Amino acid sequence: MHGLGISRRIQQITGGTFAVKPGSLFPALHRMEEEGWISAFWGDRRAKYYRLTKAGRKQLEVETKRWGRISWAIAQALDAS
Amino acid sequence: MPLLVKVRSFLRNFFFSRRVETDLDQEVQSHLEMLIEENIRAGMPLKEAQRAARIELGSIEQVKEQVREQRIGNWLHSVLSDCRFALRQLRKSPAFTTVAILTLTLGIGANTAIFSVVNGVLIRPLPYPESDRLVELMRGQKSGNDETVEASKFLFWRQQSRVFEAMAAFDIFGTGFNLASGGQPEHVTGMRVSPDFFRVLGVRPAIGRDFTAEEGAPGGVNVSVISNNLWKQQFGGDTSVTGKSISLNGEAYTVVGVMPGSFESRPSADVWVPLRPVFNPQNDGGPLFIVLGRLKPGATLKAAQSDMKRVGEQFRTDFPDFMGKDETVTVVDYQEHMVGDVRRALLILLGAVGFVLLVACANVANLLLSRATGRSREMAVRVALGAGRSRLVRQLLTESTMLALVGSGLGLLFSKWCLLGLLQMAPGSLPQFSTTHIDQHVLGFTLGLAFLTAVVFGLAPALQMSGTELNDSLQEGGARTAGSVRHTRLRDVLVVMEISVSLALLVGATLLIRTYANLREINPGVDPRNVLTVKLSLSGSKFETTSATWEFLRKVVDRTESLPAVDAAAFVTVLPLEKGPDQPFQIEGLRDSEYRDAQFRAITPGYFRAVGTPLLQGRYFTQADNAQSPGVVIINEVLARQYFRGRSPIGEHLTVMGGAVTGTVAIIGVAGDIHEDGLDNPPPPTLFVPAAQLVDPFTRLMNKVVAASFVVRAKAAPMSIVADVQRELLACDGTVAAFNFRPMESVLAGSIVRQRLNMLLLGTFAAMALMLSAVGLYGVISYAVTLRTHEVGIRMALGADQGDVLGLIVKQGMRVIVIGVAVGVGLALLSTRLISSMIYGVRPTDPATLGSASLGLVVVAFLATYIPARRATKVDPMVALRYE
Repeated sequence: MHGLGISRRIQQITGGTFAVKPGSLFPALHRMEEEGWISAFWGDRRAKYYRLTKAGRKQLEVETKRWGRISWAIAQALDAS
Repeated sequence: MPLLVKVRSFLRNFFFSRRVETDLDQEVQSHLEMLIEENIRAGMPLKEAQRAARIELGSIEQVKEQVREQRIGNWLHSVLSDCRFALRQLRKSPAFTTVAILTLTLGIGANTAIFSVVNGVLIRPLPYPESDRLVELMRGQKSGNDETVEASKFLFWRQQSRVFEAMAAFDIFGTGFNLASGGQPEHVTGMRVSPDFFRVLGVRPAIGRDFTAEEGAPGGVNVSVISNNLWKQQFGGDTSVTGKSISLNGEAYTVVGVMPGSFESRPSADVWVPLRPVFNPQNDGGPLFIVLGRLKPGATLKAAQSDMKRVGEQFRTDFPDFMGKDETVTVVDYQEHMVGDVRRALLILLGAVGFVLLVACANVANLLLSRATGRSREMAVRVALGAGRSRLVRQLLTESTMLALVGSGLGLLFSKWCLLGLLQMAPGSLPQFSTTHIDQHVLGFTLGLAFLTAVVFGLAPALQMSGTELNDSLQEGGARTAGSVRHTRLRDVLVVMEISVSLALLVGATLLIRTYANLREINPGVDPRNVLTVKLSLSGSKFETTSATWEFLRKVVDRTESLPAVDAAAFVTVLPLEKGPDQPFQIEGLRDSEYRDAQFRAITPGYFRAVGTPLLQGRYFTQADNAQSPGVVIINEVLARQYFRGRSPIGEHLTVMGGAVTGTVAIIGVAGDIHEDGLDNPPPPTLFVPAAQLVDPFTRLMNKVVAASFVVRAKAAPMSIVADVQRELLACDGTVAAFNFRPMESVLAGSIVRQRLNMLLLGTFAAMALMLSAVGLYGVISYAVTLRTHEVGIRMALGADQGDVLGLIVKQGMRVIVIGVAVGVGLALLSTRLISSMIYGVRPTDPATLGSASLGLVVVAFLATYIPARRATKVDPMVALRYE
């Protein structure tokens, strides 16, 4: 998926809650690429496409778990008050 | 694995930065195109679609910059690009760059040179293993420590003390030897040392061995240890040298060891032979030796002091007549003693040269500030393009650091050259000075200095520049009147600082110059004009008795005096101003019978005529004052005044303790005072006795411990008779090597060489600071003139004449100068107290010095103001009004 596609997809999934602007999108993509979590290639439409790598999938699991913990904790904290 | 990916990314970012950049460029571009397409599909017209797309994307450059900042290795990239940019900027203004770098070269170079000396003399340990365990033992007197010790005390201390691994004594004066080498005798430096000498220093001979206890006891055989130099020179570096012999003073000495080439003793020597001290408190020749000790591992200086206190009291109990009432034994750290009063002077010089660097930094900061004004628009543009404040400060600091690094590189070269000059100015005036060089400590110091200075002179301008309000700068549009007041204020403060620091240095330098002048004006007590001095080592079997020595001295004096170019010639044990050994004495019939020390000189009859010292009362010695006639002595005026208070001392008697002459001797004359202890010390009480009347053991002892000095008063320039004197000496004895031919003038100059060095150094620093602050002031006023060109034009158009304009500008300069001088006088009053121990004959707060230094500074500063101010008056009103 290319940068604009990713941005639009996020917008779509989150029902418009998260609109990722290019100023945040590209730095994030490039950092993940440098970390080796995603790999990039130039597609046929003269656009740069990104794909999740094996390391990226692992990292995603880690991050998802962590996020799950955090959101659970925050929800608990909010409920308690 | 993740690390590998990161490394690959880093390398790619670093080496293929162009490809990475194009990639980013294309990606953003394609993103934009896709946005436009999307908008068109949504039914927007082309123009509208493009506009909406651009709005959503935001600033393309800012997006790219944000991506770049995320990159691995970004910091390195930006530092490098900062450096490249800095270099480009510096190249663009060569005049600024040259002046800034030259200023820093001077400042950092001078600092590096002085620090090298501080490092070499104060910081670097003595070149002996575990040198922190080395101590020197001295006799503590009421007036301070006296490092000369009697043989008997040394032997007693060595036997009774418990904290030392080894203790050794050596000749204080190191008379040297006459080495028979080929046809002509040659003088070699040498010392007599007790057997443990090398063990105390912790250095073993490279070949052979050092002395055994038997060799250091009375009756031992003649053996020697030689230096690496002498070994190469005499034996061509033959490794089987031990057992061979060298001829010293006409006697064969078996070589038992060769010291390594790195070994240096102080004073330096080429030959060491055993010292054989004898325990005999009544008659051991007096204090003639220096005593060193190596503490046992773990023993502290404190422990040594208390142990030696006990040993000292023991000596006093056992031999109450031979230790003064107030005398103690003191133990001091050897290095600390070697460095002694040099420490203070060096640290003061380091402080002074630090001030010079401060002035240099202020100057460069000033230059940077004037550039800052010219660059405020550039900075504003860069802020507008998305550069952060910290990014700008970093860029400017990079520029400063580049300047400082180049300056310190050149400064390092400059300091090498300075060091050479220093070594030439004052050879051997400081311990370990001759081996001072630039080592890793010095390099580290210089590098640290470079970064420190970069921050000091770069930070203020950088903060100021990056702090400019964006709109102000852009709107100011390079206008040179409004908005720059703040810059001018800071620059004025910097110049005030430069002026005040320069004034403090100038006052210090003036004090030292007056000190030197005062010392030069002191009457040394001798008339040095046309006097030649030379030294002879008379030790050896030929000169064991007074009569043999006397015979030789008389023959040399007679033959030399018969030379047509010579007025008078005489021998003396120690030259004027070169403090010699003291001898205790007691005046007959004086109620206070406590014994006192006096400088002691054995002379031949013509001595006072040869050195030009007046006889105030009584008579000179004659040839008739010999071994058979009653003992006589000539005292100096200080001694006469101290003990005879108005009475004539002629005909009174005194006893010289320590057994130099037998019985009591009659005072037959009073001579004028000679500054035997250096020009900056008052003349000490002094005793003169005829060399012919010394007792044999004392003559033998003196011949061993001090080289005899021969003084010749010539009719013309003293060095013109060297060859003649040399010939007469060799004619009298072909084995005695004369050395150290010097005019008496150099002997005098030698005694104030340190003051001269201090004066020259501080004078140079003050001159540098003065020059730098004049340049700084010049810069500030020129800048003010440029700022006010417009104003001046208006004033002149409205009728102001050149004088008014000149006054206007000069007044601005004078304000800075006056404040600077006021602060400087305060600073000088505070700081000159530090050098009160280095000055002579002038008070640190001397008003005349303060006045003349201030006046000199004001004159220079005024010129630095006046020259650019004149330029303002040459302004053509029409041109000035059109300016901008």
